[in-house]
Amino acid sequence: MVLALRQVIATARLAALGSVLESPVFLLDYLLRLLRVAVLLALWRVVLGAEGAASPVALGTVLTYALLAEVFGDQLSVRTTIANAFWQGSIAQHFLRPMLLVPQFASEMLGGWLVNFALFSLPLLLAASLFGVDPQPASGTSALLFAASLSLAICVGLAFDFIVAALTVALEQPVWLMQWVSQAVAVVLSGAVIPLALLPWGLGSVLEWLPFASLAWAPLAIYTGIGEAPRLIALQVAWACVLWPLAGWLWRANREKVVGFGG
Amino acid sequence: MAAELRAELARLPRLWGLYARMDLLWIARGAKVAFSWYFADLLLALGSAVWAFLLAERFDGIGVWSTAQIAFLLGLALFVRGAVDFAFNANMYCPSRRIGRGQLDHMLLIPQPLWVSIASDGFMPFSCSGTLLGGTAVLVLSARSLELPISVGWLALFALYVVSAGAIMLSFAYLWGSLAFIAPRGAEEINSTTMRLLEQLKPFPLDGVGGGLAVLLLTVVPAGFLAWLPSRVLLGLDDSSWGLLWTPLAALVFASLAVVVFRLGLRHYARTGSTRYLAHGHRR
Repeated sequence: MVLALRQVIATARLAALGSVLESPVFLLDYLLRLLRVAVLLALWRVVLGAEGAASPVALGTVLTYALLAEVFGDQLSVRTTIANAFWQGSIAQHFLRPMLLVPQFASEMLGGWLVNFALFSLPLLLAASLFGVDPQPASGTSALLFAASLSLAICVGLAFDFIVAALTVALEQPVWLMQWVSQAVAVVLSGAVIPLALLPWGLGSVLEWLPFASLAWAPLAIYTGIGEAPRLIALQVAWACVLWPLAGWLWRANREKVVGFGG
Repeated sequence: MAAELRAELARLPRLWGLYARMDLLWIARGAKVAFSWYFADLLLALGSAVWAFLLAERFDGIGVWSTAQIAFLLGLALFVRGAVDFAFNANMYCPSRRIGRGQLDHMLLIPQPLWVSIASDGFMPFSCSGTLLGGTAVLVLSARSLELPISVGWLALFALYVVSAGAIMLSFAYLWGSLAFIAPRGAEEINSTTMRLLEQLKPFPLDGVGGGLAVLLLTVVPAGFLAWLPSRVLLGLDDSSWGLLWTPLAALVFASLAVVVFRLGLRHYARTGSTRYLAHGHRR
């Protein structure tokens, strides 16, 4: 157990330092993301009007939702480096390492998260009031349930990532094509950009039952108090229970078909 | 010099023909490849742009823009993106990847000017026309719904705006992508961020976002030039002569800046080269 934990920490540290040590240029990426947040918040104010009167969700709540979606962007849209490993051909090296595959990729992902969290998410959260956003949760209970829901969102997201990876191999499709499709679908259906409650034609109430909603809508709706926490968390647990066995089965059935020619 | 330029320009259609043939051969490998690329291309473009339309539908427009006008805006945004995809694919629109991965060396080895490679390498009219066709469909439907007075002049203006917006998109990509000359690893994916930024912001009407942000969205991140300002003119919301000229003028300015910055980066690259490409094709 201790060895496994040390392996995870060492892998995460390596992944975190990979792109940071070369040059401070990577910080510009955060500046662009910051600008994007400012614009998105301004757009929400335009869309909902000064009072947000036409919306079933108050403007302040939508702004908190949008800000949180950016702060926890990595966790709400889980993406390991398995696609890169396919593409670069380094998947072969991953198979040789004395560590299970899922913890390997999860650790590498965690390393990237740590850097992003320290340099972008945390400063953004602290500077929320500068954007005119109240980052506080709807209640103390909401904050606690959010933590649980976010963990489940990561769990479901990881399962999704491995399902997409296995399907890439099974269907013999280009790596990036599968990544693009899954991301494009997830962005629209997960509620990461628009709260599902604000979708037209009653789409939100249908999408809430799909696994994509477990990725972003569930934790964000719980944090802001616009979602029914017990039902959303129950759905997340149910989808985790369905998707992980599916991911395991798909991966076991297809891992020996992996062929890499390098990137 | 002028004669060489003329000769290279004359060679471009032949190169486009060659790349188009290779693209056709590639996509004609099977129905699965053809369908999946087309589907993915369109889905990706729609996924990042459709939410403006969804919000307009939900709230009966955004600000002063009606739902049909937002649909036109979305169509134009898709069309511009589709045109760039069509002609500058294979990471020609994401130069930070080519530079960061050391793949620029491949282009420098080809016995032709670099600009010719940039203008021809990514020409993929068959596999990458999904977004263009999708954008065309949205434009036609919204134009019908808005009963726009389409004339030859209007179509010429539309073409001018598509070319200008495409030039601005590319210039923005090359301005930021040139950072990869300095930091190949750290800036390799900077064009992913810049592209996502433009993709998410361009299908939105920027009226009312505030003076400061509007200026930023027309300078630092020129999303406003890609669909919003052109749509204002094409939909008759802005009939001032300045409004008419802003986008083409901005294209000239951005393109000039991009050329200068890229050449500076290239000069730096000539001294340092890239250490990221290994003989067997993997990145370090």
